[in-house]
Amino acid sequence: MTSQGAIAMLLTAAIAVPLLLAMIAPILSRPLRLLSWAAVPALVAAVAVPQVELFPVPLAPVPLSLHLDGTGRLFMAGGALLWLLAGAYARAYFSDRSSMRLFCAAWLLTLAGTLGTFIAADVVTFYIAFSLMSLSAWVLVTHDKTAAALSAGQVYIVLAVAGELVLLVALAIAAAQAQSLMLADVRLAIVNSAAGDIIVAGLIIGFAIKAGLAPLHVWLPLAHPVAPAPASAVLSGIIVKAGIVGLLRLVPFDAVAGLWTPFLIAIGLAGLFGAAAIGFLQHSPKRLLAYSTISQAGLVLVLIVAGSQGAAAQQVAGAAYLYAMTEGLAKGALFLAVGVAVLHGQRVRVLLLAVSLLLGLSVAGLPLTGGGISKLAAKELLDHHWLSWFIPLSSVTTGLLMLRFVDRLSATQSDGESRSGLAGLVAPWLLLAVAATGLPWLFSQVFAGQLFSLSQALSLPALWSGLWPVLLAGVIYPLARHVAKDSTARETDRRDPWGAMAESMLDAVMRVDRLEALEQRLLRWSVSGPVILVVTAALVLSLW
Amino acid sequence: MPGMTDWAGMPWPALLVVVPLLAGLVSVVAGERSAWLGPAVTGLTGVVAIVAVVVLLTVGPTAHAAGGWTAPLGIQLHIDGLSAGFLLVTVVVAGSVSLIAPGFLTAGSGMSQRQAAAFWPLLFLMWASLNALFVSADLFNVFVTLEMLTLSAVAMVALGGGAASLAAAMRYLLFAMAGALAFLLAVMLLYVGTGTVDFALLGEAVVPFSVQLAAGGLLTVGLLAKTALFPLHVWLAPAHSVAPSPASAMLSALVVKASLYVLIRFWFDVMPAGGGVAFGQLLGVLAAAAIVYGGLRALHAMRLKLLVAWSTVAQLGYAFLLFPLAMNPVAAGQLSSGWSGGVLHALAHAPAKAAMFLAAGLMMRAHGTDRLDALAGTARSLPIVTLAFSLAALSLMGLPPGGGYAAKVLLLNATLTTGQWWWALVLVSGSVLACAYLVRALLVLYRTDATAVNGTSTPPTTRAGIGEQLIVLLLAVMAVTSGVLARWPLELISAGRSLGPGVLP
Repeated sequence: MTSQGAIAMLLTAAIAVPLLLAMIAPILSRPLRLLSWAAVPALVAAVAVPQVELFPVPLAPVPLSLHLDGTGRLFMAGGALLWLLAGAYARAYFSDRSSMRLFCAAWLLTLAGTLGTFIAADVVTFYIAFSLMSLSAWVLVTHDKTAAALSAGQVYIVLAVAGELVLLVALAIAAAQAQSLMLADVRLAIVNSAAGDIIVAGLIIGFAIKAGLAPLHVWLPLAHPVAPAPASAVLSGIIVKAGIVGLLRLVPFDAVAGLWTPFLIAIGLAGLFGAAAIGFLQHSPKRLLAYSTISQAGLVLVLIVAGSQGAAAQQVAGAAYLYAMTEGLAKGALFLAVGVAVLHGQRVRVLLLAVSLLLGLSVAGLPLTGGGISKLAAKELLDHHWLSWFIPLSSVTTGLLMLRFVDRLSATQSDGESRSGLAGLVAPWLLLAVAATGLPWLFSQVFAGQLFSLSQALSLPALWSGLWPVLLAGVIYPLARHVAKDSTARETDRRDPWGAMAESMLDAVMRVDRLEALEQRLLRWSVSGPVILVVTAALVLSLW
Repeated sequence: MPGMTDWAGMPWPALLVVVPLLAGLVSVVAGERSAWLGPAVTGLTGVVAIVAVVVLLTVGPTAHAAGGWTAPLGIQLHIDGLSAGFLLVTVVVAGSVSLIAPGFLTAGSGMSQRQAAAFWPLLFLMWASLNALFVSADLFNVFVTLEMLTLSAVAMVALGGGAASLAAAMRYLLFAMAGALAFLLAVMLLYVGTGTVDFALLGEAVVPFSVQLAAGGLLTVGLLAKTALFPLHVWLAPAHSVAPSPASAMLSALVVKASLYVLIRFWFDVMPAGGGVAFGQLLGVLAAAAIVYGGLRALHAMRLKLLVAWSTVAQLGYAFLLFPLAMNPVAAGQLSSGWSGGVLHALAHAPAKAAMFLAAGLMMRAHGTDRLDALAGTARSLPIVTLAFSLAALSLMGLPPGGGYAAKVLLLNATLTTGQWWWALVLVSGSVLACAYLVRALLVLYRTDATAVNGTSTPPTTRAGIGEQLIVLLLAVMAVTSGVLARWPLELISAGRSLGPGVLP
């Protein structure tokens, strides 16, 4: 086998192995042990395989194609690591192992779908992977089968399916315009297409639902708190990021004209600061993290749109991906921390709070942490664009949100029962925390095309520009906490009106008795006789 | 007359019909001691079908004159890729059913000894009619074989013997008869208008426009009634769900496909210029309605076999999407991915659906009922059967690597290349519905805390034999591998088509 062939096989295996494991998961007695292994081929591929040009997937029934570029490699490496560690964590997290088969199968399918989204080279592969991820993740959300989980699952699946359909239509029109199925060609065709605005709107709606961009974010604060901790970690850490990757791969931000730019910046800023404000009022740490994810998604959108206008568009986009991935890893680790707090809070209290504080401030942009360096890179590259001032401002709001999170985490009561498996939870969590802080350094030098030099990051002005927003957040926090105290009681657990609407629409479709009545009517010869005649007439007419 | 050494000139494909027909005659005498005929017929027709495939792939499509009479008077036997695909699937499904059937005909089946004995002649008659239909090369022959098929199918539905069985069989009979009349009328119109009913000669003949309209419409509606496309589907779910499980497998996997096969044959080979965009779109609308309506009904079904039967209504809709996708100016003149996807879907659905009905039958036999709430935790008592059901469900949901996945990807590809994105919406919504209703069933089967949740779960009384379990599993594995190895069936069904393959890389 040629080396090119071996590389193709390895990259294919990154997707195929979790898919195959998903097939056998339902028949194993202890399928949880599969979860972390499933991500190993992807990690190996992301680390060992050099840049790969487009190649057709071996043995596929239709032309499916994959490729591995810088973006794909960054997300694949980070994603595989997160899936691997969250999988290891899940093994210790679930004590009732007997009923885990469906969960494990769904986990593996979601894993395959996520990674497929990152390395798909054509529209069909991309869409299949994206839907596989979307639909399987539903099982992860509803796993606990509590009333809250089921109702969150309902909102999730309705939004996910609606997003899939809108996305499919947009992709179909775009592919027809492009006369090609390759993602790069489709992206180019959107620029030149007369229906460009419709396609862009469809793509943005479809991906915004997944990425948690306001105002299509409603499923996140419902789904994250009710999903099991490892599932929340992958949801917020990587699945949401697949929406970002979709936006980056398909929406030609540099070429969309007219009102798109101000509109996108407006929804980005609204999400960035609106979600931070609402998140600050939450009691549940997981809900708070969900709003933080929405807030960061807004920031990423602002960075991408702002950067696309300037000369350094590629690098700014690179910094935005790097921030998205860094934030994803940190967010994953923070969700795992909540799980540790609930199961073993008292035993590792100091470690838990210290590491969570570091991770939280990394997301906010503390200098020398992963979040800090990617924010620094973005700010430098945006030069003196007016939007670059929102980066330190976002550091202040995120800092406040994360301090609030650590506060809430410290108040979390562990459920008291001393279960075994403390090490099984803490080890993957700590590894992920280390990775979230350290890996972005590596990524920034290796993957994203040398965003900045090390000496630049260590210079005093750079350190200060990252430090003051975090310090400011620390100073304001006691005040903000006092102001927020009164309103928190009302805000928590308020039912989302959008979710309620989706639910009632679903109920209307699912009315059993109406379908039954229709069927009974069709069964009568006085109805089915004329129906046959009408069908015949329609067929004859259509042949005319 | 051909010489004795000229074996290739002999009408050897007739064996595909003669063997099961003879077995049917023997089984009338042998009664319930006919089980041994199953492997014999499977082996013999299997060998002939494989020979047919080898000849097809090496020599090309073959035509034989049964009894030495040539067209337009004699009976022509014709095998091309489309026929070969359906012939192979018939061997697989009918063979599996004939091997597994004895376990369903004995104790606990609810059938009297006489009814059980009647199963065998009906099965072999059905088998012979299916094979005869797939090698037929003229419309009158198709009519005769379709009627033989319908009669054996209706009788099989009635085998259960209860009031529900008889009512379902009666409704099926009436719909099929109405369809048969429409079909016969269309054949007569075509004969009067052109002077022939032979496929090849009809294709060359100049068909008067009025005849083309009337015959095309009548023939299509007749076949729609027999295939149970929405809104002519009402007979299917009751009939397929009350029939004995081996019969259900034959009905859902093969019998409804036979009339679909004739539709594809007629509109793409006999009269390729006859159907247009409007005709394709109309069938597409009915297909979409079938996918959504069948899916919703399956979602609400309270019995497992009823759920599986409603899923047939929905799944048939997918195969019908080949009409709007292939009857399109972009797709015309080439072997489109819409056509291949539709045919592959019809073929891949057969082993998956047979596996599902047989698995459901084994579960029903073990629990004494197929009510969903009573089947909780079947995964523990019948693990292999449940696994088979899950694999088949995987293929039906359109998840990789099942055959349904390969077919749906081809169809999706066709919506993209022909710019008909609205059918993509149907495909995706249908897949979501299929996931919903099948996952609902799977959740019940894999429930581990069955007795703790509700006390209604009936402990299984009879176990399934290892042979039975393996047959069902084998069928399900075939359904899944038809997706992994989709290139091979795709090459087979395109064999003998003069138009080059449009999608095969």
